Amino acid sequence: MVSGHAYGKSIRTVKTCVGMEHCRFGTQLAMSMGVKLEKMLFDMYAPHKVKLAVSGCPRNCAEAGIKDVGIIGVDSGYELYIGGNGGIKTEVAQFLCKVTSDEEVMEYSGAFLQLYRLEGWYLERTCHYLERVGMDYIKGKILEDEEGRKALYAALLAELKDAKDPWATSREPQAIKQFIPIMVEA
Amino acid sequence: MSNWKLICKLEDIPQLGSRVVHWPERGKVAVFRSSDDEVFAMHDKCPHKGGPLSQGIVHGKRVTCPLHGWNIGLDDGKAVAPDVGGCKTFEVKVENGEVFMAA
Ligand code: SF4
Ligand code: FES
Repeated sequence: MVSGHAYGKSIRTVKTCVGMEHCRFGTQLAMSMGVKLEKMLFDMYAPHKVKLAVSGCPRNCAEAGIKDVGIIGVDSGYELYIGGNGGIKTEVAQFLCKVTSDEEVMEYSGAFLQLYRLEGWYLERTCHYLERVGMDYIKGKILEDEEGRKALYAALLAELKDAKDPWATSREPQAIKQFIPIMVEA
Repeated sequence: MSNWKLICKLEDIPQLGSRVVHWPERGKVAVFRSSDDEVFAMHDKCPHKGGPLSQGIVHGKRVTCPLHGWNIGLDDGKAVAPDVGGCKTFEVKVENGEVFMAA
């Protein structure tokens, strides 16, 4: 995760619980799902900050219920919640749908975020966007319109595919050189 | 002052940035490059509390100290009012893309 993601109007680090990897209650690999989402959304800018969380079971240790996209592992897959907010006015995320695979989690949450990126106003968090357009509208776009969802998801991936790590360039010799003092002989 | 010492190439100094030069009798000298490729040099030591001016933000003909935000004139080394004080400056010139400092 690059530094700018910690304060930009962009994807934030995806919070996860320890999931099935380490927890006896876990029903899904929450950490690996979180890593997949974070990699998928690397360098994603948005109208406002975007927070995600993945919990391995409904005990929900990652507090997915107050995230822009909250993912909760259940025996049969994952439940997806959207539009939560943990800020000044806490907003509980609303249930969007249930999916069965990691790929679907990526597709549905990616499509929702792309829709938000296209339609959200500057500084409008997903909870405010959701309040403005309504849950039925989102369901129409993401659940009922399969082709539309796939198109949104494809558009998101296409926009993010060339994302570069801005800090990687600062490791190049040419960039490091500027911090090396110049020695002058007496 | 006819004795010039070659410091580096102009391109070795980032625009709106600086390089630090260790000069035996002078200690650390910051060499700045402005956006229009003018070059300035002064002690790398803010007149306020000794902050490293080489790590400051260069804008126009000034550098803002990273510690408490004093502005120092690049050409005269003087703190911009209301702050008072100054840094010793050194003569520099650019010739054929190379930076020289007066010895
Ligand atoms: S949410 Fe469930 S799987 Fe994750 S740490 Fe809590 S109890 Fe374990
Ligand atoms: S040391 Fe430079 S402003 Fe204080």
